[in-house]
Amino acid sequence: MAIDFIDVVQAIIDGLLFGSTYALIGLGFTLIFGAMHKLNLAYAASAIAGAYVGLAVILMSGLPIVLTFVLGPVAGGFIGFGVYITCFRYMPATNMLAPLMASIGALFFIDEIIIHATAGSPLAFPAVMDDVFLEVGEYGFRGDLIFVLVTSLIAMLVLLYVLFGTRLGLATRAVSQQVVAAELCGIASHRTNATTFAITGVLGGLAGCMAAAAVGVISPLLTVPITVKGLIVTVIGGLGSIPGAIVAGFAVGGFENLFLLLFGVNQRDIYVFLLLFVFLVFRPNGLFGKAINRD
Amino acid sequence: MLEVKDLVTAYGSIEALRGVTLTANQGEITCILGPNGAGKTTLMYSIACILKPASGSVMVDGREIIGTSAPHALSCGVALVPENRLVFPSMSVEENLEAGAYRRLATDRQRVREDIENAFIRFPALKDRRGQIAGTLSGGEQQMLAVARAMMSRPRILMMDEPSLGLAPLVVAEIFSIIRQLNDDGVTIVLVEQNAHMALQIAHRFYLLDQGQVAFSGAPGEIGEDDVIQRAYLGSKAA
Repeated sequence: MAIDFIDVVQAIIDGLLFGSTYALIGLGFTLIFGAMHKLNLAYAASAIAGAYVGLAVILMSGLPIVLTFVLGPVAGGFIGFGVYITCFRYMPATNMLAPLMASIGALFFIDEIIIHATAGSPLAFPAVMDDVFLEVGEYGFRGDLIFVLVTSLIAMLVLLYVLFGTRLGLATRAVSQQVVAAELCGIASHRTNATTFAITGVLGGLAGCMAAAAVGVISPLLTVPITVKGLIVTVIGGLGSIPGAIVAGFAVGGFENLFLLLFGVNQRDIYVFLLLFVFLVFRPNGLFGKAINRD
Repeated sequence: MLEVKDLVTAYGSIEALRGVTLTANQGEITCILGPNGAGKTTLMYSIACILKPASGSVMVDGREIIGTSAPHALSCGVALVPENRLVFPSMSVEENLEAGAYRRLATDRQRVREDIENAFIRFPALKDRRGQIAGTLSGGEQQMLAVARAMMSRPRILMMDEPSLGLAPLVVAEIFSIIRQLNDDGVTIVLVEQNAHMALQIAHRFYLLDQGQVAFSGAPGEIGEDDVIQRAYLGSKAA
C-alpha cells in the first residue's frame, strides 16, 4: 500500500486532535505528582469510571445525551476524591511504595467493578458533532474530534486559571512546593490535596468521556492502555510539568496515529514505547522537566 | 504570652524533647540557645503544631493549642519562620507574601494588599524583587522573605528558627535589627539561635536547651555571656 504525504498529514491531524485527551490525562498525573510527589496509578481508571457513571445516569434517567459530558466529569471528581481517601490520605508520608501499590490496587478494583457491571462488553458512547466534517484544502477535520479538542482546551484554560488566578490555586501550588511552609501559612495540606484529587478527577472524567466519544464505544479494555499512555505523556512532558503534559499529550497523540498509519494497529504501541525509551535515555527529565532536587 | 509545660516529643522511640517547660512573656524577646541536636527545631515545630508531641501543653494566652493543627496555631497568633527559611521556590516574592496571608485572602484582600506594601517598606530589599521567583533570591533575601511572609498573618508571637544560619555577618546584623524593630512594635519574639553572642545582645530572657531539656535559664546580665556560651557548647561544668 502506498502511503502518500496527504495521508501522513491527515493522520497527524487526527492524532493531534485526539491527543488532547492524552494531554488531559497527563495533566492529571502530573498535577497529583506535583502536589504529593506520588503517582496515582488509579487515575486513568477513575477517568474511565467517571465516563461510565455519566453514561449510566444518562441511560437510566433519559436526560439529554449531551449531559454525559457534564455528569462524567462530576462523577470523576467524586471518584478522584475517593481514591485520595483510600489510597493516599492515611498512608505514611515517608512511605512512597504504599500509596503506589494502593493505587495499583484501586486501578484493578475499579476495572473489575466496571467489568462486572457491564458483563465486560463495550457500550456505545455518544459522540457530539459527529455529523460535522470540516474540509480545509485536501485535509479534513472530524467534527467529533474538533469537539474533543475545543472542550479539552477550555478545560485546560479553566485549570490554568484556577491554579494561577485563585486562592485555591495558590494553596495548591504552596502545598506542592513546600508542604511544611504551606501549613505554617495556615493552609491545611490534607484538604488542599483532597481538592487537587477532586479537580484532577473532574479533568479525568472529562478526558474519559472525550476518549470514549472519539472511539465511539466505552469498554473496560480502555483503562490500562489509557493509564500507560497517560504515564508516557507525563514522562515525556516531564513529571510535574503542566506545559510539558499538554505538549506531550498532543505529541503522543500525533505520533501514535502516525505509527498507526505506517505500521498498523498491531505494531503501533511498540513505536510509542520506543519513543518513551528514547526520552528515558536521552532526556530522562522530559521536555519541560527540571532535575528534581530533594531537600 | 506563650507557656510551654512538660513538652515531650518523640521520633519513634527516641525522645527529642524530654519535658521542656518555658515561658515567653508578652512583648519580650526570648532566646533559646543550645548545641546541635538539643531539640531546638523540634521544640519550634511542636509549638507550631507541625509535630505532634507525645505529652505536655502549650498555652497561647491561656488557650491550649497542642493537639490542634498548624493552621489553628497560626490563627491563635503563633507564626513560625522555619529553619532553612522554606520559601515557596517557584512562586514570586509577592505570591509568597500572599500565601503568608492565606487565611485573610478570602475576606480581606484589600487589607492584604496594604500589608504587602507595608512589608516592602519594612523589607526594602524585597520591593525591587517583588516579581522575582523566590528560589532565585540570595540567602539573606530569602530569610527576609520568610520573616515577611510569617508577619503577613499578623501574629502576636513570632518564632524564628535560626534566622542567621549561613548568612554573611552584615546580613545577620540586618536581620537582628529587624527582629528588634518587630519587638518594638509589640510582637513577642521567640528566637532560636546558635549565635549566642548576637542573641544575648537582644534577648530579654534566655533558655539553654540541652539533650531535650532546659539546662538552665536566666536573663542576660544575670550571668556572664562567656559563662552561658561555655555551658551551651562546651558542657555544663565551667572550666
